[in-house]
Amino acid sequence: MSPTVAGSGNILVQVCGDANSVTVCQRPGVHLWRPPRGRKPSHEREVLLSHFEAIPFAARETDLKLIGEWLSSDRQTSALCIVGAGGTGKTRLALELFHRYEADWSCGFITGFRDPSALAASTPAMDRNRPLLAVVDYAASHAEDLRKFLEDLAQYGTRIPKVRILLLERFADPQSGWYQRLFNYSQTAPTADLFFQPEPHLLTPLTSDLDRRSIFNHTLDASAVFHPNSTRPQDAFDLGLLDKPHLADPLVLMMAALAAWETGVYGVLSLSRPDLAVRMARRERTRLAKRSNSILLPHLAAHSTLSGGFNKAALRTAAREECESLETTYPDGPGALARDLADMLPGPTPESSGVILPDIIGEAFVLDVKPEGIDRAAHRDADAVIRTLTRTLQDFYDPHEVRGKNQSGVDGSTSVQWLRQLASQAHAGDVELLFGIANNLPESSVELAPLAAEVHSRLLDILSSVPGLAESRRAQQAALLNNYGNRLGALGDRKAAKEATGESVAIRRKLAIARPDLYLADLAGSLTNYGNRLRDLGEREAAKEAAGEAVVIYRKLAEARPDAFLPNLAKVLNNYGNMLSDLGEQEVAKEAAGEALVIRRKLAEARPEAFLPDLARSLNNYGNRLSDLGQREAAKEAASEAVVIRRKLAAARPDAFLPNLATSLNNYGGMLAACGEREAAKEAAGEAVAIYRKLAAARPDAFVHGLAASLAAFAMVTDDPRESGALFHEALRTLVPIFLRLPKAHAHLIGRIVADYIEVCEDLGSPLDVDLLMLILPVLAQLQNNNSQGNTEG
Amino acid sequence: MTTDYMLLASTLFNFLLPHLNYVRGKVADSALSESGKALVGLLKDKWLGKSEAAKAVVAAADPADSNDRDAILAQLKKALKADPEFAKEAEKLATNAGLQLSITGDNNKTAVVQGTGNTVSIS
Repeated sequence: MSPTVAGSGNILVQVCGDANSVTVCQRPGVHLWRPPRGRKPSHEREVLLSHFEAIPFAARETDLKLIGEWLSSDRQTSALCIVGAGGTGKTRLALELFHRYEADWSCGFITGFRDPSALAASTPAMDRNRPLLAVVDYAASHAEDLRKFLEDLAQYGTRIPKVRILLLERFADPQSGWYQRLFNYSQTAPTADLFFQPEPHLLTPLTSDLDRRSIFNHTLDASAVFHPNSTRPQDAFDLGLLDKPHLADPLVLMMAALAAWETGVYGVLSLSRPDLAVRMARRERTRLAKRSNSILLPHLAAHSTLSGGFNKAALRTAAREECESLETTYPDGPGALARDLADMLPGPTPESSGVILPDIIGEAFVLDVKPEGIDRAAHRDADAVIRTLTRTLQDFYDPHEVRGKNQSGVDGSTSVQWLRQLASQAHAGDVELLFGIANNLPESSVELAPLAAEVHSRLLDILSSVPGLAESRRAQQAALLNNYGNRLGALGDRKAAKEATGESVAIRRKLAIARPDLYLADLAGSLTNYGNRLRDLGEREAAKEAAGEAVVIYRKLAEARPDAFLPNLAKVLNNYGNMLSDLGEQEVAKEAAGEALVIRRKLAEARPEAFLPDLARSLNNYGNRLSDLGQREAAKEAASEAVVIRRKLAAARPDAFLPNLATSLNNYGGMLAACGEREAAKEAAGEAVAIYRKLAAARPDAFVHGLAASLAAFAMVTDDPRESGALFHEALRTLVPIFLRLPKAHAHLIGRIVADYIEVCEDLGSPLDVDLLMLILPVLAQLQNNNSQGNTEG
Repeated sequence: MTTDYMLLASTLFNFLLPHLNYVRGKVADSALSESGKALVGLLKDKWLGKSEAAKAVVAAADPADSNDRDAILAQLKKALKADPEFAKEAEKLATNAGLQLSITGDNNKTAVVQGTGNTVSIS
């Protein structure tokens, strides 16, 4: 066969023989967009919008250097993820990149992946002879499209000389959530290989007071036009007011500058991010009220903001629906309502009018207005509403008032209630909505784990009621069960966690028998978790068996694709070593931990930025195994190397690696104490406590558990029994509030500390703090009773 | 009549279980009779607030450890045996609170429950 083909972008398939199967995929396509330049803000809030570029770009040298290296690397196609909280300047950084590189690169934001045409034809401005820099803002919300797009890129490539995909998002975790789902290790389309580095890069905070001054003063300059009769606020730098940690975000500085026109600089620079956002949101309400006194205008603005904005037709429909639902009329009817809102809130693109931006101000507006009919909003665009509510809870849900006393009266827990309401009202037809909630709840939050567990449970109920689930749904069901097990494990519900993970193993085993190429790696992943869940319940033999099976599978997979699977093999070997150690098989345990260490050392040599954290983890573990065998000096050496690595990592990225450094310091302290080096041991353990004190002050939800553990570890290495007793006592007092809220999640640690505390008190002959113990022991006795009833029933 | 310490321990522990929130100060005073309150107070002062009892509760609550209720009962029995005054006072208060302590016959299985919403399975 020799066909003649004319034109471009053709896909030609020639097949000979019988029973062939051909799948023709569309080449990866995207919509690209760039905001028009030179627009002037028409009112004060628009000064805050990155698209207006109302103030000059602030220093980002570290970030720009990394991006420069990434762009100039030899790879044909490569992706990079940059993370930073809302308002840290991610979008503005992307715009700056466009300006810097537009002479040689085609640049733009990806706004959609549904274009069936080839990538090179996606926008008239794109020249297929030039490299492409495409930015995906809010990457998590495009995760599914993005995954398919990356798979297409990995499989087919493009005709463009270079493609760079920059993902921007608030959080990204390579081990879980939306970011993990992008990593596909399959033999046909391994998207994992596309990433420049698997770890996301955290946007550097603004630490220099001079940079902060520049942003603050430029915002005053840009907004002066809206305050012709006001006196310009004083220079905050001269007053020494710019050194507070929360002023590391450009948006906070900019909101403070706008607020300063009304109240002066002294009060506003001590206001928290949420409080500043609420002030801006209330100004927006006042601005809307000048157009119309009708409650419908702010109500529709809140609904539209929840949905991430509407196009013209959708805005008209929503206006009509809301007028009918609230049984309220708007002067000149719903059409006028839609027009007024579009006029007041034009939005960055024609597809997103009616939305209040920046995000945090829109979220504050929604919380302040508390619009009736969240279910109607979810009915219009469930994904968008869930994303907005998730962002809202990230910015405003602060049960411990970590960000300072809430002065605005706006309650972030409303967003949690709304999500719970949506989840509880969901029925069999709302599977995607529930998946949306499940996938958007941050896995690092123990406070939100109960809601996440509820949503997973509801989804699983729905899926299990469907007879004859399709293969893809069964794969989803198994993934859900796996994640549900992790959530339950975080909540300390160990039996239920084991059951869920075990079920995931069973489903994935069946899937892997039928399609090993697709599902064997998933089975190994579930087996790894199942081993951990069994270990939590003291089922040591079964735990070893599960981890051992995962080792066998990963070893086989790593032989075929070492790049993709050696990291997993090392991880499960580490776990396997722990389980062998639990059973007293110390020599074999050391061997397994040693093999993991060798693998990770090689990986870290080749790609230190990606694998040094894993190497430190292995060194910690290997040190423990050596310690089990009484090889104290060697154990100390391994623990010391882990500390050195983690200290370096923490210096570069404190947010990501300080907790790990504290863990390593605790471990190292124990090793030093075992070698009789008490002073050095105290120093290491004391440093760990100091780190956790800072972390827990910022995020008690995530770090109080670690603080209590490190206080207890410090108590173990101190040679003064009185100090030791005081430290155990402090650890208990620290842990009790969160233990009482989620007893199962913290029962194991608090039990250990109570036992140690009692022992020290007995040695000293000092009285127990019975009042404190009476808060803990009844709860532990109830847990025991519940456990034993569960055992009887089982 | 000699005291059956195991029976007494079991009766007292089963009485205490539904009242653990009272021990934590989470339940209003009116939820318990005067003798009930006195019994809870006695168990708290003479047993649960002591280090041996605390250790048994901690060990039994850990599912990766023994998760063994018998260990708690054994510890309570030991405490009662070691302090006859405590046992006597507990027995008296239990009787005043209406708890049944004396059993006759062979192979008895007993459960003493106070409060609402309890489930007892005897097989």
